[in-house]
Amino acid sequence: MLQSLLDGLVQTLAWPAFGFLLIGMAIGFTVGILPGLGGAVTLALMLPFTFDMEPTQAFAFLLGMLSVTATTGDMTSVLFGVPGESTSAALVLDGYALSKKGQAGRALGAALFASLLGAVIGAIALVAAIPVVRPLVLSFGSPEFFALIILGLTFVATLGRGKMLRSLAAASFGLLLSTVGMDPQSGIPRFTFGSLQLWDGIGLVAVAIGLFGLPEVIDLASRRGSIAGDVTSKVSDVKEGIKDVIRHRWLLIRASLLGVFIGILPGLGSSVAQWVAYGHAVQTSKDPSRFGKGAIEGVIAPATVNNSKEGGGLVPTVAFGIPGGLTMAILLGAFLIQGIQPGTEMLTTHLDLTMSFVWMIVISNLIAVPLALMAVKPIARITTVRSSLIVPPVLLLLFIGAYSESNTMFSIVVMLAFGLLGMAMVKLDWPRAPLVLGLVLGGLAENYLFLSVSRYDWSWLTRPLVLVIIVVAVSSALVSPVRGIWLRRAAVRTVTAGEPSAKERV
Amino acid sequence: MNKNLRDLAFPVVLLAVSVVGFLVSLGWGFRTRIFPVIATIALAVFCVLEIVNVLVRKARTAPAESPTPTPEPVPAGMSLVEPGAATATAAFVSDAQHKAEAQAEELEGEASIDLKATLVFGAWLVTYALALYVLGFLVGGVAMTLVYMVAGRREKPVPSVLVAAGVGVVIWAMQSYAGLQIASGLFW
Repeated sequence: MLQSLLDGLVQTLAWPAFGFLLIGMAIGFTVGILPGLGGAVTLALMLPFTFDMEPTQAFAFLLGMLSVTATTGDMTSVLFGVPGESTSAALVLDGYALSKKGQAGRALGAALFASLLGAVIGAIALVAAIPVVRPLVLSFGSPEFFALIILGLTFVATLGRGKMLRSLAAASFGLLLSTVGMDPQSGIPRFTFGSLQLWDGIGLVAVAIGLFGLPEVIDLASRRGSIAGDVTSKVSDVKEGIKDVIRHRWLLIRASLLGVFIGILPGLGSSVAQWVAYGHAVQTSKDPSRFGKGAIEGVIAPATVNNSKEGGGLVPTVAFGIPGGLTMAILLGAFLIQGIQPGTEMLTTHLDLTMSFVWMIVISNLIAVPLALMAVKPIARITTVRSSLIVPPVLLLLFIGAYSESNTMFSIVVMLAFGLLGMAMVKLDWPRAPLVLGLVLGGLAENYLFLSVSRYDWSWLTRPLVLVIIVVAVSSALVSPVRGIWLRRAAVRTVTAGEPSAKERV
Repeated sequence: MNKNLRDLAFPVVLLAVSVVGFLVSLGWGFRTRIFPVIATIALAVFCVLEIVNVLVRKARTAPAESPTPTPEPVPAGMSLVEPGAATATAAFVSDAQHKAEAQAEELEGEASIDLKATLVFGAWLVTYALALYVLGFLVGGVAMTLVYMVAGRREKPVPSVLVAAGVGVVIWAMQSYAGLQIASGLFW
């Protein structure tokens, strides 16, 4: 394992992988700072550019971008009160409050340094998880992997905050879309309706770009002027922020572990993680009344979690092929593009590649954080760029990205169609992430189902581990509606208890 | 459109898709159809449940809209269900979370998008795609960038030309150095 860790470092630092890491970081830097373009959208946009790359180069490019996006997204939250990423929203509360007090430098120093340490702890967690997870993964057969995929889909769907049915329907629709094209087992075209273009299936890149990219671009296009105002915050006392992090080291460690844990759990997204960490910081503080008014702990906890969860999120993605959230689902798409099967392979023959992920996260943060600290002001000026200047290049990237997937205009048609679907889903308040997740996992799920039925007929359903996973999946699906019914009844009881009964009124 | 009708539209469409998918997949062999059948049944079940959910919600809200006395409103930050359990911390974090998330969601385009603007932009996107097909990515990309910036009076001529030129250079660089196969159009 140590050898693989060293091999991973060598692969990461080898040229041109390191160059791609730097390019990815530069893109992540800009995207992280620009509100409106999220890490997931950028990841989807950049996927087509990895088609011709070697696996290490592709992941250096994508992970370098993703890691830095999470870090720099914090900067606009602190400076302008505008989250660069939805995952940086919790930072607005105390980070911006500190900026308004003239302590922007302190808040930025704390946020960026906590991000760096969080990323390192998350990466260490990924390394530490491998010896624990490996025997488990190696003992799994195709039935267990199939059950795990269903579990992953259920987790993601049930955590759609009050939209469980919609999430499950969207995930099922994604599974159905994954069956379009030639059946890999029998060679029979399915749902192609006579179109040769559909024989290869519906491309993940075109779907992801359409569903997420187009609505974002339309939103950007509808804005006039710059995203944030002029950079007026005073940026000094960065060192004080770093000292704050050291002073609150136990909070940092707790928040990091919390991030790793939340990252590992499929379905609990980054948006949830930051609020859990923020809540934890409030609860463990001796004076919770300071929060929201510029408490440095309110900056440290969410910033730490934001980065530590990436390492945690990679554990189920790499080991079981179950992405923890949307970004990991798109990253899983990159695995498939590279022809790498997550699971056993990633912990045996491709262990060095898995280990290189650890180094990519650590190195990209080690470079990005000092850079961001040194050049806060010029970097923050990116937010003053007018949206009308951003839209044309981004739009062109959408078209090129979709086209590159199959080198046909058909991919652009698919992108536009899914863009329309994405806008409809936004308008009608339907979650889009489960659809992409279903599409990504559908192919894997069908393969595992086919293998399970071929090897064990239907007796695989009675395997103990499969049963356990199915019970967990069903219970997690039932928790939300049962809780809803219980809460409604409790609410009715509370209301009726407060009112005089019919007899009393008479 | 009526909110309930709007809520019903999407699951009904998905239900129709699942029925068509199910019927089509019945024509294949067992191994080929097993997964699509599972997916279509799951989709149909969840859509039906969602439709029922919308209808039940509609039925529940109808009597609530009648002029019957309503209970005292719950004070901000307090839970209706378990008043004792709602700690100040949870209320504060939850309140702050909702505010900040709303802001973040708005920034990520989750907030409702203006329909007219969306339609106009959608039509423009289709035109853009057609231009890329007919003129190729290099000429089409540069031309449509100029159209977007100048015709929409979004930018002055100089920055518009600079951005369009930048777009052209990026496409050329991607074609020449990144090895991307980009369509050159119908005429050249």
